[in-house]
Amino acid sequence: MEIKGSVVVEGIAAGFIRFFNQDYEKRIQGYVKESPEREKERFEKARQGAASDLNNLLKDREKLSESEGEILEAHQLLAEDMSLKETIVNYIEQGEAAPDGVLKAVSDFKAMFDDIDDEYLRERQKDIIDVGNRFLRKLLGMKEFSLEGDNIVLWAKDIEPSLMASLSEKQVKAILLESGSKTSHAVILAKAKGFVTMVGVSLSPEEISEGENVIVDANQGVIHFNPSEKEMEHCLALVKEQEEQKKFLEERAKLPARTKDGKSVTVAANISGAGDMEKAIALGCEGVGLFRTEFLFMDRDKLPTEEEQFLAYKGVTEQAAGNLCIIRTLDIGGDKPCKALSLTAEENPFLGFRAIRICLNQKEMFKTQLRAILRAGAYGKVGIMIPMVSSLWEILETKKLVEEVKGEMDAEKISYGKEVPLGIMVETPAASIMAPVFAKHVDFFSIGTNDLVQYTLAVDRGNQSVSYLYDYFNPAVLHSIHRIVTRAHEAGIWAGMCGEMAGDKLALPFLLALGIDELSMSPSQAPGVKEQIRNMDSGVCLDEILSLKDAGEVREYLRGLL
Amino acid sequence: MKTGTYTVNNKMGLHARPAAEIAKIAGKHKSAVTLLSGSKKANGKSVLMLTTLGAKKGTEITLQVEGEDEEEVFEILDDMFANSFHEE
Repeated sequence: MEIKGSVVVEGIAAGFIRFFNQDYEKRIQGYVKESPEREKERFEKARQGAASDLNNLLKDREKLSESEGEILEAHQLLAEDMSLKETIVNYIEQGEAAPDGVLKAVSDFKAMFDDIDDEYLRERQKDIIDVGNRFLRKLLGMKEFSLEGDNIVLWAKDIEPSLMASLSEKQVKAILLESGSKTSHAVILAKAKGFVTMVGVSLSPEEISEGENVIVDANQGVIHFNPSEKEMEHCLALVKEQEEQKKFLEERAKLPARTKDGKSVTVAANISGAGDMEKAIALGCEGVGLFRTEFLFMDRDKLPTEEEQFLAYKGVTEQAAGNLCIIRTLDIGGDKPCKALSLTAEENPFLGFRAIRICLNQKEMFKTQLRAILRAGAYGKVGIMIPMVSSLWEILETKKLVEEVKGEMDAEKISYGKEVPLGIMVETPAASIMAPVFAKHVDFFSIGTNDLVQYTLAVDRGNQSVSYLYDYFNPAVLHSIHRIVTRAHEAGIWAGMCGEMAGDKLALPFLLALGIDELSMSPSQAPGVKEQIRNMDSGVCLDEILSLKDAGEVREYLRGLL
Repeated sequence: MKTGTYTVNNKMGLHARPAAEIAKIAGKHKSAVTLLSGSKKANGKSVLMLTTLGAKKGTEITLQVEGEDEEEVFEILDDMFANSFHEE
């Protein structure tokens, strides 16, 4: 049997299918509440069950890594914690069902953690959420999720980021998600870990049983179930070849990205936090081309403080060791919700109140972020990048705010980076058309292809029925990119790219022919891209590409160059 | 009641390990143990409450111990606080 999906991280993997299906919501709906006395008993039994699971896990301490052991010990303490227990029991006494009591207590404590102005201590709220989930699983009769064995292909409707982060690259070979988003936090984590990843994969557990052999061909976007022995053998040979290739590329990752004819390109990293930096550096990224700060703002009830943001930005800047770190100001709204800013649902969120539009409306919040970025600038090379710009006013207004916060910090005698460049994401047709004007007011451009494609081609990137139109090789997009880079260079500023296209090897000849200065991508893509740059000439025939009439022709032409 | 005021001096602040140790000692004894930091107050027998104080390096913390074995409990905890939880 074969199933198709859309590819996020290319590659081939072979292994056993495992399902991860933890739909708490649905089970809570089906939970039948009894008397408060009885609910208290049910909770106590669940709590003891969770505590004994933890004790059992800790019995095999030597099987765990040090950090896993420490986390489980912290969970063990929380499972026995009197305040947590009292809070849950209180809710139950007030008439809540046990699972709702757990959820409410967890959310109360989470709110207390949100208030802490120390990143490390605040992060411990993850423990309380995890322990709450352990209680819930016991109450709802759900099995504990644990991964045994190697060569696992994990399928899930969606995966919590914390679980994705905990998956081991040694055990898990591929991730298949039913949810279609290629930009969810979980997907970004999967990409950073380098798992072969596909989304939009619908499986019905009735048709496929756990443990079946599966081949994930994320080069072609196909998943084969129960392959023949011969197919499996063939696939394993490909996997081996792929792993050798990966090792070879990683060994060479730190060599510069310079074409055979001597043209250098900066290959930088797209990151969502300081935790991504170690890998980015190991994989040869020279600085950060896109720091997605929205993850500091999402999944929480309160906005992050200046101090918290400053520490996050400073952490990344320091690790970048002298390379430029471009910090994108808050890009929220559209497909990225933010609980802390009560945003209303919109008919057309991608054309609505999002990104810089929100920031210029919530000036205090924006100024807090600008201050934090500028302060981090005292510890290394930092750049500010504004997303979703569509008018000059947005640039001028932002620059005014930057001057304002600098004045304030001077008065407060707070040190900050004096030479922090300010650039924009070029991702709206308006910014592309106005590129020559905007270029006179900013220090750099970075092309965000994901949005540029969707706005230029009028195609919703999340809508499956029109996804065939979503293609950055559409000549309309290529001409737009050509215009952006050329106008930037005419104005004497540099132009980079930080969307999906920047990590696509097929696109490289075109981008290099344009003379693009920087390419920023998920770190796992960097070694391959750098190697390809080293093996090519920058001067392919640009006019020829720009004369092609549709995406199919462009792809064909570019394939011919590989 | 015995009280003492300290400044958190170790790098990681009042994180899970010291919080667990405090709760362990407080839990074994009869006295009520309370920690105060700014406007926040925590029951010393609860690791969770101690962690939500968010006491990072440089935070001032007040310790209160009250009960029949307060002398003994205070002595142990005072030593921990005064020595930065025996951490760097």
